[in-house]
Amino acid sequence: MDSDLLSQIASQFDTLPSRLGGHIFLSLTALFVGIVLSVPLGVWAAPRPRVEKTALLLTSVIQTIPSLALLALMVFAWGTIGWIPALIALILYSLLPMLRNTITGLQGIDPAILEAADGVGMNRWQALWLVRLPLAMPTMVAGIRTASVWVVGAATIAQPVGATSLGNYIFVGLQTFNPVSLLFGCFFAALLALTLDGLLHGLERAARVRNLRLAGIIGCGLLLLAFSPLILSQFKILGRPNAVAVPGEDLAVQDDPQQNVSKFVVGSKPFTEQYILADLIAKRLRAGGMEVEVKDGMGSATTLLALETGELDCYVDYTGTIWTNFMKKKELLTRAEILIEASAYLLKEKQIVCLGTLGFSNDYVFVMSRDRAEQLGIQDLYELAKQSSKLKAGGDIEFFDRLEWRNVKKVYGLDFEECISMDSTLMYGAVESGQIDVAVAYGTDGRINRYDLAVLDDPAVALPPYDAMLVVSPSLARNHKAVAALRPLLQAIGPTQMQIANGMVDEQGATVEEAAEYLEDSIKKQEMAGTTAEPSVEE
Amino acid sequence: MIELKQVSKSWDGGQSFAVKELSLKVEDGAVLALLGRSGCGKSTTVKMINRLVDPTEGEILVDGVNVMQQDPVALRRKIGYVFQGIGLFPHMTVLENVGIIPRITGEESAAYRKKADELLDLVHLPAQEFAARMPEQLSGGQRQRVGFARALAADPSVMLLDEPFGALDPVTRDSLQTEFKSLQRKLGFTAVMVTHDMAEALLLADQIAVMKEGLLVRIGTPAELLADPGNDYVAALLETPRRHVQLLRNLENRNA
Ligand SMILES: Nc1ncnc2c1ncn2[C@@H]1O[C@H](COP(=O)(O)OP(=O)(O)OP(=O)(O)O)[C@@H](O)[C@H]1O
Ligand SMILES: [Mg+2]
Repeated sequence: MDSDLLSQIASQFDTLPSRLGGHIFLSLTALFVGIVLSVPLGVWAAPRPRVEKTALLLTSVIQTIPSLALLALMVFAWGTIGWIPALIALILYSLLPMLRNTITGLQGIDPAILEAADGVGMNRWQALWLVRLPLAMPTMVAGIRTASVWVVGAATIAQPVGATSLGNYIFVGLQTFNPVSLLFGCFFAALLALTLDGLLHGLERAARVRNLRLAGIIGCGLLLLAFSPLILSQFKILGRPNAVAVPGEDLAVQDDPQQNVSKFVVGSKPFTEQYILADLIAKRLRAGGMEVEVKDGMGSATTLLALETGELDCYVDYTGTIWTNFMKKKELLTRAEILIEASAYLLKEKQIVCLGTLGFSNDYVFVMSRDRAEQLGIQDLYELAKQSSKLKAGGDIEFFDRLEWRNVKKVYGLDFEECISMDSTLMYGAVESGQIDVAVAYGTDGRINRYDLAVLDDPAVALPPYDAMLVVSPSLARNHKAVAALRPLLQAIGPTQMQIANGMVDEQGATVEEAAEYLEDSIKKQEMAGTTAEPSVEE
Repeated sequence: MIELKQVSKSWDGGQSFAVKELSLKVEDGAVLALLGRSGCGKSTTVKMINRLVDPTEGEILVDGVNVMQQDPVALRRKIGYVFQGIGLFPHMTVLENVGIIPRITGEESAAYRKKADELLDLVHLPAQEFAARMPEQLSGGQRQRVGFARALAADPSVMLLDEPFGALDPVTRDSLQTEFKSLQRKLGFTAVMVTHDMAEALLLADQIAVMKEGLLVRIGTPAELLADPGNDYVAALLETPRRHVQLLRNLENRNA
């Protein structure tokens, strides 16, 4: 248990240099640009009540926008994700405390001292540099310190917009229920905030008592902080080599220098088929002599992220999900083309390797009770569309908000009397009992057979294919033992087998393990017979 | 030489006047004392001379040139100014405060430090002991000396002093007054000095100008004022030192 915890913590250190580096880069740059903007603005605004009011109002308004929303707004405003929108959001965020304190600092100076500055014959610049700014300095530094704490804190939520920061630990920890990662991120974010605050405090003190040596030491401290990720990366604490992976066959021949550290994390999205497949994958890896941890039921959008960040090593995703949700494609190509493009995208954009397809696809399908379909004479989506205005449709919680729905609706001119979102387990019963006329089901769901539902054709191919594919992290892809253990799964699970396995769990009360065993057995049989599963790829 | 011609200042667009139609002249090397109750317009008058305040009407000449035709920054650097309430920069050392005028006029660091050292000696604040101190580490009297030294740093031919000896104990005040008198004789600058204290004015000034609600009510040498106060207000102001002198004499006579 203890050594397990230690190794978990140690594995977090791998990514520390890049995440801490990203965090420090974002925070320090935002603070620096914030100072460069807010100090002149404050100097200009301080003696001008109307400018002061406007500037403070604007920055306060920015402040009231929740930081996550501000980050998201910047993504839309700049049309890009990554560190640019994150940095701009953080700069905007840092402005208020610095601007406000510059203004109050300047306004708080005793007018007699300002008159003295005039009286000895200082011009405006001399009065500013020699008297006003030095006297406002303590208040200004207090503002910079407030901003630094805000910015370091806000930088943790830069992860959703694609900027690397310590927030990655926190988000991944949250989404994969990993408290070690979560606490690791919090710890370093707090440490960074405190260090920065301490250094700024020291700098202020040095300026106040005008101790050049102290200022020098603190300047060095700031530099050291700025370069700390670089220094950290030199230590290579159990450093996982930065992987740029090559897909497929070439990988197996490359030797992983850390062959003996083969512990892998297998993930699954929150539905039956995924649980079964995760169990199957885990068993295969274990049989190959590897240590495996299973993380079940992760959010469907975060599995890919977790794979990208190294929290996961392997799970099953679907081509259509990558195509519509991640690549944001609206047009539809053939199954084979979508598979190729999706794997290329994963490798290029995310350094994720697609080992291949499993042999079945879990498409969205429109289903009706057989009686009702025959009674209305509906066999495909064109025929459904003609009568859709008096029919009720049901779908899972997200379907009617998805791109796929908008697309299929447009292509066929579907216009249901009502679209009802419901939990997918209720959907099948509802369509059978006639509460809804049509349901949007999952192609491999065992309940389609069990309830004897009619699957409607999609002749225009308006719904994307959801071929199941095995996606793995670069470190798994480089481990030839692991690849060898997983390869027999490719093209080995046909739609019928998957449907049966799903049905075992959903309908017959079998356990996930039993369903996985069933799949394993059928794979073994095929291996002996020297065949592969019935192909789902028809082109 | 300083000359004010029919100078008026209104802070409220002409409804009331802090200074009204004031005319006076201070000859080269002379000391003029400005006297009057709080709020009668003394500081306003002095600040109009170095353009910290611009007059509403009238003309002010310093060494024969209208101050309104001069760059205010250049004008102020020529004129030594001792502030009411001292006005030292709290974030600068004594040395930096004294050297501020040479520094802003672009003198070398070494040059202005040397000058500041000399000026500190002149006002009896040994540089080794006081140069590195901050204003808050000085007594009130020491601060006033630093204020003096700072005003002298520009080698001014004109000095403006706004209550330079206010808020001091009588002994310190007396010694500073004596030092001022000897410095003024030695350096020969023309001075306008604001004070509340008629005794101080009688001791230090060549001319005494008495103001009341912005108006000049009497001007003359100490001897002239003592001989003929001219009006009740001035007579009342002279009454206090007279009574003090009388009191002292009586005491001395009794003891003798
Ligand atoms: N900046 C200003 N704005 C408006 N009114 C002012 C300003 N400065 C001075 N006054 C007014 O002008 C009048 C003269 O002020 P001044 O400072 O010249 O008085 P003073 O004779 O120096 O008084 P004290 O002996 O108290 O220093 C006062 O009524 C004062 O309120
Ligand atoms: Mg005054």
